[in-house]
Amino acid sequence: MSRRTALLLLLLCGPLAAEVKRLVVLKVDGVPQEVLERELQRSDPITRHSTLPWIDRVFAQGGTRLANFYVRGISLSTPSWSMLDTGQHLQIRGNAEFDRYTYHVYDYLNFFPFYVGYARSQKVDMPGVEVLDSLGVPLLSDRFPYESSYQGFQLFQRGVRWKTLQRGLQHRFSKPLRDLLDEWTIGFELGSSVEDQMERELIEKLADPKIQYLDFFTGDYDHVAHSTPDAASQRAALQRIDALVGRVWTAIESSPDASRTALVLISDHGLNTQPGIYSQGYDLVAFFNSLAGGAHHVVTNRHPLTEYKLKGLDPFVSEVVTPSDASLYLKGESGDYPTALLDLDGNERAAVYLRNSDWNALHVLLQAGQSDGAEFLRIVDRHRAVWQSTLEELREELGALRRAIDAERVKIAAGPKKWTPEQRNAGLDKASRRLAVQMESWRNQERRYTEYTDKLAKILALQPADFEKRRIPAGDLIPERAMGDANTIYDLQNYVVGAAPGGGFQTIDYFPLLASLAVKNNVQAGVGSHPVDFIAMRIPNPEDPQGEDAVWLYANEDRQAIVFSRRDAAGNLELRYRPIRGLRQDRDGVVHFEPAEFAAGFPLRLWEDPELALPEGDRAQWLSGWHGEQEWFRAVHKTAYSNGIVALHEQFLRDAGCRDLEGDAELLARFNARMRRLAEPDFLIFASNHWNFNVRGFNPGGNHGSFLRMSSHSVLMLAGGEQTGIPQNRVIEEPYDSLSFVPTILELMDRRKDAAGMPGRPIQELVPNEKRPGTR
Amino acid sequence: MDIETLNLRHTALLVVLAGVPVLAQLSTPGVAPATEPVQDSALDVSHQYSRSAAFHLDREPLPGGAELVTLFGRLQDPATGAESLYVPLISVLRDTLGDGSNADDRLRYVWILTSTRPTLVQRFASALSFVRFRTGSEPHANRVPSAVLDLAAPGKTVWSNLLGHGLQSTQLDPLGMTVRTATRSYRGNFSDYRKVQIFQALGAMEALERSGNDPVWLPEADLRQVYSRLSLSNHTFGGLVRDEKLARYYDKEATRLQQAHGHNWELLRQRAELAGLYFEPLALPDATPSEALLWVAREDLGSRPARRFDRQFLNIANPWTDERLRNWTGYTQVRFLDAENRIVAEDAPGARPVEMIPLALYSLDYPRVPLLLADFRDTFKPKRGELARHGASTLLTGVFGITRFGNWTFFAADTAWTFVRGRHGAAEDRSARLRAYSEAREFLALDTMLDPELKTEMLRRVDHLALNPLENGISTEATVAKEQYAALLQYAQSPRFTARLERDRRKELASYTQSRAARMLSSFGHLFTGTPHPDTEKPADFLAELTARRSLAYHQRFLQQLLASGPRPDVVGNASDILNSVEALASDPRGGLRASRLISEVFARSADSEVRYACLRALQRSNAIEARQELWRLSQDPATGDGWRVICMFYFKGENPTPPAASPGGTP
Repeated sequence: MSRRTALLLLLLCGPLAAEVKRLVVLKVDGVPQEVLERELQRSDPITRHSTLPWIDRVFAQGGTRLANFYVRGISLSTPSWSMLDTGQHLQIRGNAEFDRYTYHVYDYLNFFPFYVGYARSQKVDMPGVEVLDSLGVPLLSDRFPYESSYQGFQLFQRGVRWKTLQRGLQHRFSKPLRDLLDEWTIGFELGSSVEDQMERELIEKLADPKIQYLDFFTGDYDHVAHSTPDAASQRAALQRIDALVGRVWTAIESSPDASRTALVLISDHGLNTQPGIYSQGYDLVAFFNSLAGGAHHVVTNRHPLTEYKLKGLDPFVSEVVTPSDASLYLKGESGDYPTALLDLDGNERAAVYLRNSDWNALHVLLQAGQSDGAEFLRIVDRHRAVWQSTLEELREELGALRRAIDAERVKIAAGPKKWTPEQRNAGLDKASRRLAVQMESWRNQERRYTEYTDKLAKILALQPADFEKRRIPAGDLIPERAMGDANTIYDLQNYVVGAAPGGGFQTIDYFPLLASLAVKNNVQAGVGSHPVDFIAMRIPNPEDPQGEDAVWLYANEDRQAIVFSRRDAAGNLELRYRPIRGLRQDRDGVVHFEPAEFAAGFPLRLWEDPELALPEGDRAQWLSGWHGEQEWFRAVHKTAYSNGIVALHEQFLRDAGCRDLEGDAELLARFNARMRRLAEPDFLIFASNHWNFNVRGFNPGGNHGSFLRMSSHSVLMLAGGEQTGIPQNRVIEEPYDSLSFVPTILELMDRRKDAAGMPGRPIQELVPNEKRPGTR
Repeated sequence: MDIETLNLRHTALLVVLAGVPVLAQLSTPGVAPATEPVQDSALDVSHQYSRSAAFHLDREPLPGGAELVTLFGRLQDPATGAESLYVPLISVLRDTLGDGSNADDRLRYVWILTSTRPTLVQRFASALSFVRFRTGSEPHANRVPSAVLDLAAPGKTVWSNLLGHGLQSTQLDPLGMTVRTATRSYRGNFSDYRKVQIFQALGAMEALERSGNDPVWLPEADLRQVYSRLSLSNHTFGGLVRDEKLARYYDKEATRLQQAHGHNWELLRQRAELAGLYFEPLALPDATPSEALLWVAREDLGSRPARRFDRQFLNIANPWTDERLRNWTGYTQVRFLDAENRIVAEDAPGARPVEMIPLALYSLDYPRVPLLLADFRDTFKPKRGELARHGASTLLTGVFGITRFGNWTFFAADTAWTFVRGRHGAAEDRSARLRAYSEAREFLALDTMLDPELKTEMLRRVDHLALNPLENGISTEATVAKEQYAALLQYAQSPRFTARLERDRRKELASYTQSRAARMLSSFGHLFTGTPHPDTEKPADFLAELTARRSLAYHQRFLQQLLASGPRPDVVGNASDILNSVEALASDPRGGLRASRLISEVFARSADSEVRYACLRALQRSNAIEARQELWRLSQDPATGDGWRVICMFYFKGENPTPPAASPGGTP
């Protein structure tokens, strides 16, 4: 065949190739696959159609749906959307995070400061987007030209469209008097005004052939399902989503390029909700406040029982200290020295940051006014090498940061001060403002880390003679509002909470203490009396100190496990689950444990799970061997904890570091990676089934945040015009997770180069091999 | 105007106002005493139902083509624990026109059978603001109850209520403290009594809905209509809410109630846990818990003297320092708990006995916080709270004449105070308190699971919250309900009722054929001339006309709702139902332009070719000029699509092209 003929054939085939040109994503927060499927299968007694007729028509009959799509990581909105929106591994691991050195709160869910900051030109993106930008991770919407995308209001939002808010309110009130009277009597729903307006705008934008990417976010179902397990109420919320699907689909059908438009319905996680069972809350703030819990002054990102406090009306709050009356050495100093930071958002898990135990010891010693400081300096000497290294590295990084600030200042000064409408439409004004916001953020970081390094330097410079001159106030040495380095297992097994009456320190072993928590009222048949399921913590690999960190899971002293990870020759992830008992760590860091036989009750309860899909043979043998990620996924995804083992690895996975960078760029990347590390908690507490740790209010309807299948089993459905190649009436049984979403979309849109760089596995049933790079 | 005339005017106003709350219950169709003895046989319906069903519906066919649908609740006498009996609670008149079709049925009057007309003593006592207890009552065995609502005209009560409020503020309040206090107290008590009765009825209907015992012969939508209308009648402008909004209102209410139950359940459980107390949720079968009890274990009392107690949300005294509990001689219960603190049988392995002392009963219905209904150590505590609130209100409004809408400073201060107190968890909403109280009463009346002795204790304490002189005890209400139901049945079988039914139907027919202004003029004319309405049409013609009108209205409503529910009626609705309605509209010339437009709209928004062809056939078959205009419009509208425009033109010209096999994509 001549080259000319081949070229002709290629040109002829081109237009026939299936390809998505325009993407519409409906993001439905917290909709569990089980509940959606239940309602989809339910027949309405009057219409004899599915209860969700549009989802049935568009996706079940006219599209493809994934029966086994899971969150990779914990089932929380911010981390989960971060993966779905970027296609990259987790960088944000909670709905709120705290910086251990500077006490900075990353409050990803609070949109009030963002809106006000945006109005005052101090913000341009939601906090989650800022973090991803600092790490150079783009959103899916960033892959489209600014003027070709329409983004709804959501967690990972860039910019604010004031007109949407304005028109939403106008539309709400510009109605006939009779309608207003009806609404006033029934109850106004101002919250839905914005969603309604976003929908109107999305439908308007569908008529614009330039727009290639549109998304719409709704948290309606999540909100209802948190508040009640009532099936009828949840059904009504799903029916509102169903009606939305109908309106959007109809608009797509009558829009230009309908045949090459894909509609996607996706949820970030499921929700552990069951009709007839109330989810029960356990107050970890009260526990950590109590003497038995360490008498900590506890910081949360919201007021406990917000709805019963006038202060709870403050929408800008991101840090709240709940002082402990029982504190043994910090009474009355809760403002300066909180010692526990809790992220309880997400509710089926709590992220716990405790102040470094040795800092507590140093604080206690300074308060006691030791004459020679010998004990103080002994503790400092134990950390000297690490602290010195931290100090030096941080100083290097802060130096690079200062230079970056200077460079940014020049860049900003050189930029235009006024913007034409064309420039605004191209998003150039926002890009410029983004630089200013980043510079301000760097300044704050520089100031706060410098404060920390100054105190650290003071401690390292201390000599015995300094203690002889005068009594050193704790405030001179111990940084205020800082947690210090993360605690080791040893620290948490011997956590210093105050001075012991006979000398030395009072200590707590947190693991058995938390695991033994129990309640007096056990009133629901399906709910146990122990709120804590297990605790998870990163530990150095006890089998191979040079290997990847492992994850330790603690249910009780006799039921523990370690999840090991490694890479095979091709760089693919392999995991191993090892049951153990009695893990302890020496002060010098050596970890000891006893191997255990598989039995019921170990964390993740894999061994006893009837849904564990293993090849014929010995269950225990298979479970204790090394297996690739896919093998694990296929074996465990239908168990009670679904893909928990893979998700745990994702949750505790760390960025490999800065590659191919030099000079200040490398230092800045190292600094950003450090900040991400400093935002990691000491450990995660996972709630037992139908328990939660919400203290802000009450979530009796259901919760998420754990690896329980109901919480991690999400929705992914696709449908499209005839040229998109999306199969009709197809159910994909193969399990996939959040990382698969973006590469699949990019491949469907024929952006194969972009997809090739993604860590996730595209959905093969949607993107056959012949469409992959090099196979076409 | 001289003083005498003024006084006369005010006296007349007083009389009018005194009647307003009663009149607001609608003029009763035949309130005269029944002349024949009441027969109890009609009440004996309980044998038809499972003994486990707490609620069930029954229907009684009536002469003239109607039926009385009645909700019965199973009541147990807590004092004796005697065999339970079914008590009629609510009756609804369903005008079926005597045929088997649901499309032309119409719900009319609603009677709450536990609600009775007050005695003279009760009326007098209710005008005395300091009388805050029941003043007794006598069963009205021979009276037909007043309908609480006319579902055909729910807006009527709005205007009478507004008139009452207006007259109170502008005419009676300025007459001085005595008149102001008496009239406000009188009207307040009537309003509260009505609310309590409505809340009880709503509670029963919710329970019926949850139980799934609603029968096939009564569409779910009818039950929801009655529920929504009753609930909305407690709102100032509730009667004006249009029918098409009722479904949304019902969904919102149902969700709100479920959210309140869950929220309060969890709040109370957590506070009990924090305080070291035992929490016991209480629920009727198939329902979510609506009440809860708190207990303390006697064994814990000795071991926790120094325990801190936070009374926020619980509103009871510290049990750990209370000597009364250490020497408690009142009701106790021994329970057996296992190692996980689950209640188990006495002989279960590891079961340990724990003697429990009841502390308090809470309602979980109140928004945001559990509401204390009974304190077992301090019987009058909840009542004192209510009395204090009532006293403050009487003092400010009755004595000093300061009202929220007459004094803006007071309005602002009161709003701020209520907001702050509510924010801290105080139960400031009187209407919601009444609802919680009435539902608790109903729960106690219907529950069959609680220990009778405990139930009696709880009832006794809850009854202390009965501050309204118009209220009756549960057993009186049960008697009244049975007797009123019997009287109602007797009345409904009488010729007077049949005549009333026919009058209502003629009025309804007039509403289809005459404008509102014409009907008003006609009514005024008849009022002055004193002549009755000319019922010229023969009964058979009249009924046929009404049947057709109702059927037409039903199908129009159906299609309108379908079109409002989404962009494509064929996806949301059942195709055969759509075709049925389209056919019905097309075959009735009374439909006119509205029917043609609806059919045309269904065509335009459907993609199902079967539905589309049916619409075109219907428009073609209809001889109305409007239908032809719609066919022409569709044939010219580019949005119709080229293929379909040609087909529309065929139909417009009177041709009848053969439709191809159905294609779901809507291609012709």
